[in-house]
Amino acid sequence: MNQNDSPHELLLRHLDGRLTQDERWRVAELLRTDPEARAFLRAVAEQAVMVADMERIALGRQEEFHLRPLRSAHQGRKILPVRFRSWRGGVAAAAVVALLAVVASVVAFQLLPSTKPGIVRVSKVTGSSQYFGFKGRAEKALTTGTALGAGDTLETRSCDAWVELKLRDGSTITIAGHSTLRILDAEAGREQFKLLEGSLWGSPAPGPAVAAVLIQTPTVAAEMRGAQFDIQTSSTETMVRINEGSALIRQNLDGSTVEVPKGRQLAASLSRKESLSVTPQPGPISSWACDLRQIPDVILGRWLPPTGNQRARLGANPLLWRISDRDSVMLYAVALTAWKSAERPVLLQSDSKLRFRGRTERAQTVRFGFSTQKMRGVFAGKFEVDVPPASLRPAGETWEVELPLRNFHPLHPQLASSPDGLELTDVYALTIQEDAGLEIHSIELLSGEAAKPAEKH
Amino acid sequence: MNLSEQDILKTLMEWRTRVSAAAWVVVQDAHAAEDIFQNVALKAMTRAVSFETESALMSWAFITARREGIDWLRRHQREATCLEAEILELLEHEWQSRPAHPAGAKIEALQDCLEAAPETSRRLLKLRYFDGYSCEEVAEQMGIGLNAIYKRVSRLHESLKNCIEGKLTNAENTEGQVP
Repeated sequence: MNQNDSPHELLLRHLDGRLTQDERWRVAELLRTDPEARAFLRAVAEQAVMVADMERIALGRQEEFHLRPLRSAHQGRKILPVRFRSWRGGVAAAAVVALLAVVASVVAFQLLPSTKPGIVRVSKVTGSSQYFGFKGRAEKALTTGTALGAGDTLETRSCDAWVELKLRDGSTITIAGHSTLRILDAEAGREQFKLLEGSLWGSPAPGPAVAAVLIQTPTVAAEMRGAQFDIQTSSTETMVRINEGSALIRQNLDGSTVEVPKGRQLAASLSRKESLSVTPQPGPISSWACDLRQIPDVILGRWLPPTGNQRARLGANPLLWRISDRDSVMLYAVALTAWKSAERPVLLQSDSKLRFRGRTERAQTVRFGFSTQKMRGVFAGKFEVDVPPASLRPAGETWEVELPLRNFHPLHPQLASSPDGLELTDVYALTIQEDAGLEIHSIELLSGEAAKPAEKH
Repeated sequence: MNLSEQDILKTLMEWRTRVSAAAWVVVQDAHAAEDIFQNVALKAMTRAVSFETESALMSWAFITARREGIDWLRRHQREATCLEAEILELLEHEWQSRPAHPAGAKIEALQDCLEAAPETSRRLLKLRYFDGYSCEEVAEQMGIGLNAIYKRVSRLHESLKNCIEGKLTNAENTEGQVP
């Protein structure tokens, strides 16, 4: 490097990747301490993206960029044009795309089958859940024995809910809290379901090979061939893990297909540009940190404005929990999935602790809970514990609470009486009836060795 | 009261240059930064969570752009070039704490400033930021020494920064005047 370099030239060399380790430290120090250097870097970055925008227009490449997703199966889908002459043009263009999406969903709804053969029966149900009939009518809450057919849509609404469905061949499908599943018309002897969001576990009937089951998500269509599997999906990403049997998976984005054998997994995303790849299911980890600044996948909650010392705050959202046809309770909950925050399964152990950091605006009992599945297996129930306000810091102050897993009680002891050896799938915190202004800042799972000796409040 | 889809889109478009620029600081590739902004917009429109205020949305958008940028670096095995998270957060905080101009106004100001600049300056910026050549490759193509290129690019960015700020300030003052 030239010793006469100005700080600006040093920054440009950094952007060129031409610095030694010592020079990189100098750049880091410069950016940490010198607001003028940061202002220059921000200006360079803005000018770089604007120059690229202008060149796309000048070289007449706008059309090429519009067509790019259609030409290559590996390119991602665009929802906005590459460059807008003004923000108004951009909003208008994006609004058209959004409108098209709404129209498409309405058309899809109108094309739902008009017949309703009963193809599954509810075999187990807990918590708040509901189903909508194939004509779009809200039906009564689900009960054991309810027969469901093509066009019906199930929603598990509360954090503690789950529903097990038995198919005609004896296979079972389970969905957990905050999941939406639509039953589709059977096709060529295959039962079909669409998991719109949430978690689903499937187990084949015992005995000789059974008919394939097709599970669609917003991202993939998975044909399960005698498979014991689990699927987690959001509106843009899906994770499929095959524990027994195999699955043939087609990516909606480009139509590519891939076979996933036992012990392997596949992740697909609408925003990922690579082709589908199947990887071995990684070994579990026993500690996990869900830093909200890394934007985990939120099932329930709303982002609150940052404060001086807290940039990522997830506030509780109201959730109506129907207990019966007449009674309901209002919950205010935050819920996060673990599957997207950790690249490996998160293993729960008897001596592990969950550490939550957050605050409430008003003193109130906070219920903390988590969902589990068997390691490489099926849904294994939920566990909860209530923490009274006296065990938290005064209302308005940030608290940190460490909760040993042994303090959590099982909501479904018939599935698992203890979380020891199970996999963490999602975590939640809530207040009941009253909105206490609950917000969560971070969640961590501490393994036995990492956990602090004394509980901290 | 949560932001509507229209509000989310309108806010993202107003902040488009800054969010793309924040992604660019991570990936240092203008086309990848544009892709990342598209992905952020896609996620904002399709995810189940809501945003109570514009600042909550923008906080989320900057962090998501950074995360996508780091994923991109990982996929391209270029993690070593990434600045520390603390510095990226500082830059994002400063971007967020300054009032945003409509995205169109800033790019129009840049266009005006570049029209007044020599042709070689425009070519230099195109080679560096649109074609993606390093300064060394740009120096070779333009037949100029590498140190001279760094000095020239540095001066060019500084003068464009001042020119854009001047034009935006003038535009604001003009808008405030009674005709």
